[in-house]
Amino acid sequence: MKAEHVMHKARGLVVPILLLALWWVIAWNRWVSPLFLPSPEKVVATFLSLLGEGKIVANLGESLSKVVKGFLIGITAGFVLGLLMGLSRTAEKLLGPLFNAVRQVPILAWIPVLILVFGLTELAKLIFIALGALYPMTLNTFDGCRQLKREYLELARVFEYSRLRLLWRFTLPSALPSILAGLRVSLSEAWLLVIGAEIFFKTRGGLGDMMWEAKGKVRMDVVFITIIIIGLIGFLLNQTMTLLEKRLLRWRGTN
Amino acid sequence: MKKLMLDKASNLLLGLIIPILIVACMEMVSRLELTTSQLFVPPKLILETLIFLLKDGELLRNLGISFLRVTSGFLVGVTGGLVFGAAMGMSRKFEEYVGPLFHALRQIPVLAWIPLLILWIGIGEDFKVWFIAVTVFYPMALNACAGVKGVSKSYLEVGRVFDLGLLKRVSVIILPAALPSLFTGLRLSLSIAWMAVVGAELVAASEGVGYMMYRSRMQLQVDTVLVCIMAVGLTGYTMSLALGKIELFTLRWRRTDS
Amino acid sequence: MKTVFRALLTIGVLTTLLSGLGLAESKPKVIRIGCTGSNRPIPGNTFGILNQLGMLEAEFKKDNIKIEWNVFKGAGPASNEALANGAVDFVTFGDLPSIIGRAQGKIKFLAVHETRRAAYTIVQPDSKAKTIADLKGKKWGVSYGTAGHLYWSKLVDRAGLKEKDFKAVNFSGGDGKAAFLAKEIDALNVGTDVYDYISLGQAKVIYGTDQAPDLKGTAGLVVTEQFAKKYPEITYRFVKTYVRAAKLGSDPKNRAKTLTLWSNTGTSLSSLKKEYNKVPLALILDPVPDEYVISHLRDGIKFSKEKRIIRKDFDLNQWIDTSYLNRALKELKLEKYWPASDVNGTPTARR
Repeated sequence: MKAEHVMHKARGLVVPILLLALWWVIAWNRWVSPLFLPSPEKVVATFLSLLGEGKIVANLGESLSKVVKGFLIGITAGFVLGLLMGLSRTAEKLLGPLFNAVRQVPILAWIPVLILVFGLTELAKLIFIALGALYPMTLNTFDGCRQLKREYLELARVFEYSRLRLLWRFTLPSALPSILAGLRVSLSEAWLLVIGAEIFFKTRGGLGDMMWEAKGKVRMDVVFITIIIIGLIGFLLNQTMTLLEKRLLRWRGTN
Repeated sequence: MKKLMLDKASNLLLGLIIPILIVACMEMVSRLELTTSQLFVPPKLILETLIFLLKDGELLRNLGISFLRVTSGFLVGVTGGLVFGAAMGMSRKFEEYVGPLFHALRQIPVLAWIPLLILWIGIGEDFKVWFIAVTVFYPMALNACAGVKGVSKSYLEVGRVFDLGLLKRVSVIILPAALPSLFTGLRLSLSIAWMAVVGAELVAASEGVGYMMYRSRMQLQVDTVLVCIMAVGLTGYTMSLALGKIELFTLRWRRTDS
Repeated sequence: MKTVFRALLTIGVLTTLLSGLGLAESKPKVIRIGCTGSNRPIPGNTFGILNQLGMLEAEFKKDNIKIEWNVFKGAGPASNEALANGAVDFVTFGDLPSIIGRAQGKIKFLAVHETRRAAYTIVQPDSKAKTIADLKGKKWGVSYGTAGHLYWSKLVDRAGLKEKDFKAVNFSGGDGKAAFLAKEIDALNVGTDVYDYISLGQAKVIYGTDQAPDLKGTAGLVVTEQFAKKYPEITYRFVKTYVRAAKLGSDPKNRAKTLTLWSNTGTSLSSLKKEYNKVPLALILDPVPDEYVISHLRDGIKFSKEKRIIRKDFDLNQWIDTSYLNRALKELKLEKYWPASDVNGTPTARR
């Protein structure tokens, strides 16, 4: 049983290892220009030197601070909006159509407008990131609110619970899985948009900017490094959220 | 019947309140010249610009180019994703071999592919199509994998009992059963494809609707930017509606079937 | 209800009082400047002199006014966005951005920042293109909304071609240069740093203002109408300091020092020397809008409207306000210092 498990995992490593070996061979023989494919050693060496210069930590910190700020703003707004629309049919009718219409527009299309209205400032970038976090959060909160089972609604009516009590004790808890899923999706959207903001808003600082500068100087090795770091952080953020989600849902017990 | 129509009408009106307020606000603020902020452009100007750009052909030309890019990239990426994802779903071994690498690469936010791809294939049409294809590949593959895996065991049993070959099994049993997931993947991929094309055109393009937005922004023409945004939103929406109709049609027989 | 009404009334009165107090202030706390720079946050021309010698800081030190320099990589368009957002008060930028800026908002053209601005079109060193027509269908890096855009538009027009004949890729900031060096595009429009490209073997020049001197650009100093109305004295003193800096740069005795200062923007000294050998610095830095400048701007406005870069026309005279400049020239006794140039750019002595 255990051996088979190990076999399964081992199979997963075959392809990556083969690719790495292929990469090393190609670079060693210079079959492809080093501008296109830097050798693995060079990538590691550049990584270590950048780490030493503190550039990686600085840019990483910059991007992380953006994602946290934008994420928090976005999920708060998204939560409020989703709650409003989920709880009040009137609100849904008032805001829903506009929200859905705006949702049709790919979020990147808002960049030129944001730049024109807010300039190339931190504020513009934060709004952009927050917008990205807002959509999934609103949708999920809205969905969650609507999930309240009829029986509970009936129960609350029979016991003549106040609206607030209904909200706190019934609606929100049953909406929790959706809301938590929304948080997870919002976070990965926010991370994606932080990189986007740093590329499209073209100001200094952050991993996206580091990557773009490297592209400008045709430093493929730095581009590789930044991509890997960005992916890694995205993965870690996602895992953290998933863990949080599982924890909170477990505490809630089965429903 | 009458109540239903009244309901629908009142819903429509309610939904229009806020947009109308916004338009009125923009008109007032720009008329009174309260601020130089670019946000408050007179709605009439937006309309004029829209009409001009349509007559001029610029809007449709650029929209058409973006549309072509989206379609090409979409087709390439979705096909790749479908094949790859289905293979992962059908063969445990395949999934074990490629799974970890697949999921690892999936962590990379799509926009991070832009610099890499530009360095590898320049900034021509190829770049845009491949970029869209790459962004669309993942959601499609994931949904295809989930769809294939979700095929009811009893269906697969039938295939085994009738001793169907691989091709027959896939086309007659697996694909149809996986269709709902596949369509979810297609819908998701479509909106991602539009995001990708706008992104690519904001960075390295000489035509297309994203390019039009970028250029207008540099020339401080908010009205043109807004027209482009509406055009993109509308086109994307129409395409997803069309996709929805296709989905309904293909799934219709399925509902009566199961 | 009554309490609400009273509360609103109090708030209303208080805000009016406070804003009244604000109006009574005759000095801003900070003067915000916007300009263009490339890799290093240092502008060129007169602003470069002002910035590096700290002349504005010295002038306004006694009033406790800070000077905030915003040097934009995004050039003219970025300055325009900042103006629209009320983020800056004084800006220098090229002819097209200033025309776009005026067509969109309320700015006053105070003085000239640079005339006879050179521009060149470069291609890849191994390119076989010899004329503009050879570049048909090729990728050409253009930064829309900048002075380079006007140069390019006029150039295409003059070659009898259309913008659609080329694949004009839009870039902002230094992306054009990066794309050119990475060989992603075939042609690019550049300015005074052209000789750096040539000396490093990175490009060939196939056209430029050397062949077509009327494609040379003009840059100007503008201020927001709001700032000028609120702080006319400050605006005047700013212009005065500006003129002093222009004189420093125009003085042939300071030539070497001026060029060295400008080399801090990132363009090499040798490239600057080659470029500024062609025209005396005094003509370039001449802050007075003479016939040459005015006819150039008038043409620019007409051309921009034709090409639908701007929608509404505007009156040149409403836009240019030389009252501050003239007062400064008088006070500094520099009225006759700079020669006035006629429509063709030929300098004649000032009457």
